[in-house]
Amino acid sequence: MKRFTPFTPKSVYTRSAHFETSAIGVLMQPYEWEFVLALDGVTSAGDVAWSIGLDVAYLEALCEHLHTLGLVSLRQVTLEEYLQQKGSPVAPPATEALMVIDHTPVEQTPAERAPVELAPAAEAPFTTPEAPPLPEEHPVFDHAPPHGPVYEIPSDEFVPQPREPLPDVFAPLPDEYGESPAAPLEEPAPLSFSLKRTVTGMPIRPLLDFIVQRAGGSSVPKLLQQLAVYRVFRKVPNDLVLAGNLPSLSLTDANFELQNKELYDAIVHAIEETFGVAYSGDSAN
Amino acid sequence: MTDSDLNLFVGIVVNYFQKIARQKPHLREPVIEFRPPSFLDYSGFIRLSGSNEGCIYITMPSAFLTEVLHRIGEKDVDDSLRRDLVGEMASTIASNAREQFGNQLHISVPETIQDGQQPSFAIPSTRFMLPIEWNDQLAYLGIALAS
Repeated sequence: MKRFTPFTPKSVYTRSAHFETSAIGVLMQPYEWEFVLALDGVTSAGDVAWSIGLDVAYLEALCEHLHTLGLVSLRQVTLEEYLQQKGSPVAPPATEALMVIDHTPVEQTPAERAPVELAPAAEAPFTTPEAPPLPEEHPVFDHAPPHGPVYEIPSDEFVPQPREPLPDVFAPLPDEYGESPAAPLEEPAPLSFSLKRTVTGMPIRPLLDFIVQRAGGSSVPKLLQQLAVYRVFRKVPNDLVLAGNLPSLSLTDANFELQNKELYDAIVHAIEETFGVAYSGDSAN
Repeated sequence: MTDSDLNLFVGIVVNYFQKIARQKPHLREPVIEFRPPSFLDYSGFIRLSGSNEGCIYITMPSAFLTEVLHRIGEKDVDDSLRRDLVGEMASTIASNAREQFGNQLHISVPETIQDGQQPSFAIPSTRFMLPIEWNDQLAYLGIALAS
């Protein structure tokens, strides 16, 4: 299925299949050719730009231009390919388990129909390994965002439920020419799945919303809102930002989560210093 | 320096383009850059000191300047003309800013660089980069102020 994918520095490009013929007669700057030739179909455009010293600010226009010339194409991957790249051969468990039952009748040999004799249980007593001791206190962030730390789970969400009876897997097989003695199968419900968002860090959006609100909110021209964000971020130590894997910040698609607590605190500190107010994640809403 | 003060620089650049190239540029979505800067083919800088330290600069590809020079009637465009033009842009920004800010901000004479050269002074790494699109070309206005 094809769909429009907006550009982000994380987009992965690959040289097009007709790169060599498309490139004939094209005039570009040496650093633009350097960028194209450094694309490997795996590394993100932002990382490639970083490796050759090209500002991410120029990337969107450059990639658009290269795409128009037919020199590159956006690399899309399936879930399977993505998981292979990440080094995980299987998908993480779904939030709702799906059971697939194969209803195809299976012919069995007389030997297969014979009852299976179970081996006697092992004599050795079964013991449960002991879990490592839990820390006395959970770490709690000073300026935790509204979502709160991910490992604090409301206890009422996990009330043990009585177990459903298991399906009768030993039901008699259907007769070859007759109807199955088992109850007729109902039309299977349409498959559906839901992906629960896993909050693993501290979302940056509430911070930006707070800044914009302090700068005058939506009544102020957008450029002034963005300059207000810059006013705050230039107070954040640059090495800390880079250590937090934040090479650049585009204000429109800043919906990611900060993984670095120290960086998060530094941004909060910069906000408070700039506007002279205490930051509260709730007050941006 | 307030956000409105910084916005004045943007206004100066937009007005300059409108006047010299007779076409208003389109401002695209800005980005805050944290990495050390890199520059396009030609760049013009003005340094700021006083209440704020840093610089304002404009950086653009050769083709952008060539197109502007053609638009204003130059036929034989070469490196020196392009460099003069980017210097003139920086100079216009500087003189307009001096009018606006008076003594509260010291504004240097413009400095220009080209093709991989580096400016003679250190630029704060955290920069506000505003893409300026004109006639299918992109230039960037950089605002780099120290904390």
